[in-house]
Amino acid sequence: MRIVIDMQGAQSQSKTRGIGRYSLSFALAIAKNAGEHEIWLALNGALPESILSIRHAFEGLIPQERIRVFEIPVPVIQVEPANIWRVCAAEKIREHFLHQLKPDVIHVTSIFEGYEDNAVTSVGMFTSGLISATLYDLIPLIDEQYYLTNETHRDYYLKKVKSLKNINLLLAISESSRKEAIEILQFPQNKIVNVSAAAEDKFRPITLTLERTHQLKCHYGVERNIVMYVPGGFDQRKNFEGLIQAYSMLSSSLRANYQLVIVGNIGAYKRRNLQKLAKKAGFANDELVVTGFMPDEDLIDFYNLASLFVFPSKHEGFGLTVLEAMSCGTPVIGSNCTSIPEVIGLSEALFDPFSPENFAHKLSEGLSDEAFRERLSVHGLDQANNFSWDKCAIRAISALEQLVQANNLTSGDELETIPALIQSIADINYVHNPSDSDLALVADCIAFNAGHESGKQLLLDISEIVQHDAKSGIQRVVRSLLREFIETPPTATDVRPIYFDGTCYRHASRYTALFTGIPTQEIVDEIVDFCQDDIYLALDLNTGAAKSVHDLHMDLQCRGVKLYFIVFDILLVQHPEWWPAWTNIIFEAWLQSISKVATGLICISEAVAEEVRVWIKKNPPQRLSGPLISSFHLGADVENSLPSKGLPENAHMLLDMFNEKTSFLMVGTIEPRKAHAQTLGAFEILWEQGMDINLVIVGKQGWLVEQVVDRLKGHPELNKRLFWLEQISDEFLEKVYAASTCLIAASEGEGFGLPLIEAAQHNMPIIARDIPVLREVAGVHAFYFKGRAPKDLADTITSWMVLSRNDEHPKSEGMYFLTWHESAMQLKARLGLD
Amino acid sequence: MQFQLIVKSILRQGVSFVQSHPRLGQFVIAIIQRLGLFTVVRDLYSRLKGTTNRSRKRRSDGVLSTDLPPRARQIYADLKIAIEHRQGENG
Repeated sequence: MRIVIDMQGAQSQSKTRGIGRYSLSFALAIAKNAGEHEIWLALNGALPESILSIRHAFEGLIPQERIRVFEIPVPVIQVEPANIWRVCAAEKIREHFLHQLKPDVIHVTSIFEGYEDNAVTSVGMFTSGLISATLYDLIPLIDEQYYLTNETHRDYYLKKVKSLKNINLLLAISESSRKEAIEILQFPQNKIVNVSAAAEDKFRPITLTLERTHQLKCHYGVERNIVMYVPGGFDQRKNFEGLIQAYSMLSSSLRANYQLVIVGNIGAYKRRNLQKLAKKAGFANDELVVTGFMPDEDLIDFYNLASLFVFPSKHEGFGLTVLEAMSCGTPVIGSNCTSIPEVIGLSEALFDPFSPENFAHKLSEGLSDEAFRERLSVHGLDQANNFSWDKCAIRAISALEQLVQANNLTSGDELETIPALIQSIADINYVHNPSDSDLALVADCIAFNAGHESGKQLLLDISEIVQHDAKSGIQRVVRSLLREFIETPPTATDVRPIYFDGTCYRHASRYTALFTGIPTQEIVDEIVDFCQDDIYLALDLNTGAAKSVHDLHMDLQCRGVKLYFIVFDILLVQHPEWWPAWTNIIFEAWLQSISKVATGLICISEAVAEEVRVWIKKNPPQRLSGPLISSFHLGADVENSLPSKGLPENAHMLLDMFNEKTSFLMVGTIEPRKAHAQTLGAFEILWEQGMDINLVIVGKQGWLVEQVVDRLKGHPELNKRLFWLEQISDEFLEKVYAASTCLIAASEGEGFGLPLIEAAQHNMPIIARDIPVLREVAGVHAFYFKGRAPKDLADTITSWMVLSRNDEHPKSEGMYFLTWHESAMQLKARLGLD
Repeated sequence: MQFQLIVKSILRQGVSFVQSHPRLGQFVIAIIQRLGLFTVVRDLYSRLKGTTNRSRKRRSDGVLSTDLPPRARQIYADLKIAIEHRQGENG
C-alpha cells in the first residue's frame, strides 16, 4: 500500500503549535512502522521554511525521492477574499499532484489550514480517491459564538467542515474527538477511528541538581513550590478564571508555600488580563508567575520540579501537556471534560472545572495530601505508558489498510491528465477573470509538479565558459568533462548544459551546438525548467554570481533538486596572500554559499576534499546536516580534452635547444604559489656552480608576480638556458614535454596537479614539492623536496642529477592516471548516476 | 517607474559588459575597493541581478508568460485557449 502524507500540518502556521508537532511526530511514527507499505510525503513549496527540516527529520526513514514538493499559485491566504480564484486553482493543482503519486490512500495531517497562510487542503475538488485526515477537534464549531465571529473565517471554517464529510476516514486524536465528530457531524462511526496521541520520549522523570533547580527558578522568577499549568494556548476555554478563582479559595497557609506558574507563549494584553484577574482574586504580587515561552529543555525540568500539575481546560482535543506532565512523573489533576479524563485515566484525579468549590477542593487535596500526590505520580507514569507514537501509527496503519481493502478504487485516468486539469481550472466560476500573471503562475506550477516525461535532467552549469573561454586549466577540465557527459550520458538522464545569464538559468543550446559542430542559427537558449530529482552540477567555477544565485539555489534545494559543485581548490581562503586583495572575499562568499545549499561538494582530489572538510568544520554552514564531501580525479588524456593547435615559427629551434641539454620544465600560470621565484633562484645557484642545464617555463603571466616577471624578462640567461613560453598551444606543449628531461612541480598549493600526469604520460621524471595533493597524484613516482629557499630546491636538483646519472631516480612510468572518460565515470558515480 | 526600469536596464548591460571582460572587471573591482564602496556596490549589484527560474521572489512578484520555460509556456497557452473557449460558450 502506498500512503501519501500531506505534511502541510507541519508546514503551515500550525507548525509551532500542537497540530504541527502532532503532524510531524505522527508522520515519523507512520514511517517507522510502515513495514511493507510505501510512505511518501507531499510538501507544499509555497511554505518553504519547513521543507529542509522535514527532509532532515525523515533522513534514513524515507528515501528523499519519496519526499515530493508541489507548487501552487500564490498567494492563497484565505483571509483575503481577492485570493479566491487562486485558491480554487491551487486546490485542483494540489489534488492533481497528489493523484500523480498514485497513492492507495492520501492522509492529510490537518484539514483546517490555509486561513492565514499559503496552505491548501481541499478534498474532492478535482480528483477522487481515498482520503484520510487527522481530526484534532471541532471546538470552533461547538463554540461558534467565541471562535467564529468573523464572517470570512466562519465561511472558511464551515467550508472545511463540509469537506470533512467527503473524507473516507478520520483519524481522531482522542475518543472524545471521535465522539464529537459522530454526534455533531453525524460522521459514520465506521469511518472514524481514535488513534490517540503521545508525548515525545524526552518527557521523562529526571532528578535535577540543586544548582539547576536554583538556576531555573531564578530565570523564571519562581521562589517557592510550583503549581503548574501549561495550557497550550490562552483562549477562553483554557479556564484561567476558574483556576484563579479556585486557587484563591485555598487556605492562605497552604498558598504560602506555593506559586501558581502558568507556562506558555503569551502576548502582553493577555498577560495583563491574567494579572488583573489574579489581583482581583486577592493574589499577592508574587503568587502568579507567567513565564512566557519556555523551551522544551526547561519545560521538562519544570514538569519535574512541579509539586502539582493542574489542567482546568473546559474543552480539549487531547490535552498533550497533561500527558507530558504525567510522563515526567508529575502529580496531575485535571478537569472531567472532553478528552482529559481519557488521558488522565483516574477518576480521583478529576474535578469539575465549572464548579469552583469542587475545583478548589481537588486543588487543596493535591497540595496537602502527600499520599494522594504519590498515587497521582505513580498512576501518571503507568498511564503514560499507554500512549506512544508507535501505538498511534499501528492503529492508523491498520485503519488505513482496512480502508484500502474495503474500497478497491481505481483512480479515473482521465482525471489525471494535464489537459483535464487545465479544463477544470478554466471552468472555475469566478466573477473576475484571472490575471495573465496568475495564469502564467498556474502554468509554471503545473509544469513543475508534472516533472519531465523523459526522466531527470543533469544540468551542467558552464556559465563561465559560455560567456568567456579564458582557456584556463579549469576551463580545459570543463570542456573535457562536458564532452564526456554529452557523448556518454548517464542512463535515463537528459544531459543539458546551462548557464546563468544574470537573471536566470538558460540552456546553453547555442554554445553546445557550436561545441558539437551543429549550426547555431535559430537556436534559442530557453529558460531552464528545473524539476525535482533533477541534478544540478556546477562544472565551471563561477564565484562572481554566487550572491545572485544563492536564493535560487536555496529554492532548488527545497524543491528537491540535487545541487553539486566541483571544488577545484580552496587556496583562496587558505592563502589569500597569493591573490589580489579582494578576490578571497568573493571566493569565500561563494564557498559559504555552496556549503549552505549543496547536496554535495565534489573535489578534484582527496587532498582538497580533506581541506574542505576542515574548512567546513571551522565554518559550519547554517543547515541541519552538512553537504556530502567527496572527490574524484581529473582525466589526463590530452587528445580527449579538445586540445588547442598551432606551433610558433621558432618551434623547432626551441625544441632543439631543449633537447641539447638537460631541460627542467615548469608548467602553469606564473603566480605566487607556483614558486617561480624560488625555482629561478635555484637555477641561478646551479648555473653559478657551473651546471649547464635549461629551465623552461611554460605559462602566461598571472597576478602579483611583477618582480619575478621583471627578473625573467631581464635575465642574462633568457633564451640561452632560461626559456619562457608565455602562451602556447596544447599541441606545442606536448612537444615541449617530449623535448624536456624533468618536470619541476614546485607549487605550494594545488587542487590536483595535472602537469604531473602529463609528465608521466611522457615518462618524464618529476621533482615535486612535498605537499599532500602532489603525493596523492604522484605517489612514489616523484622525487620530493621541502623548503622555500632557492638553495633547498638547488640541493634537490643536484641530488636528483646524481640519482639520474645512475638511473636511480624515481620513475614516472606506471604512475596511475585516468582518462577523461574514466574521470567522468567517477564523477557520475559521485552524483549517484550509473 | 519607467525611468527606474531604463536605469536598471542600462546598469544591467554595463554589468554584463564588465563581466564579459575579466580584466576590466578586476580593474573595476579594484577601484571600487580602493574607494571603500565594495559592500555597497556588491549589494546593489545583487539587487540588480534578482533571479528567476521559479525563485520565491519571482513567484511573489508575479510571473510573465514570456519568462516561462517551454513546457509551462505551452500549458499557459492551452489554459488561455480553454478560458477563452469557456467564455465564448457563456456568451
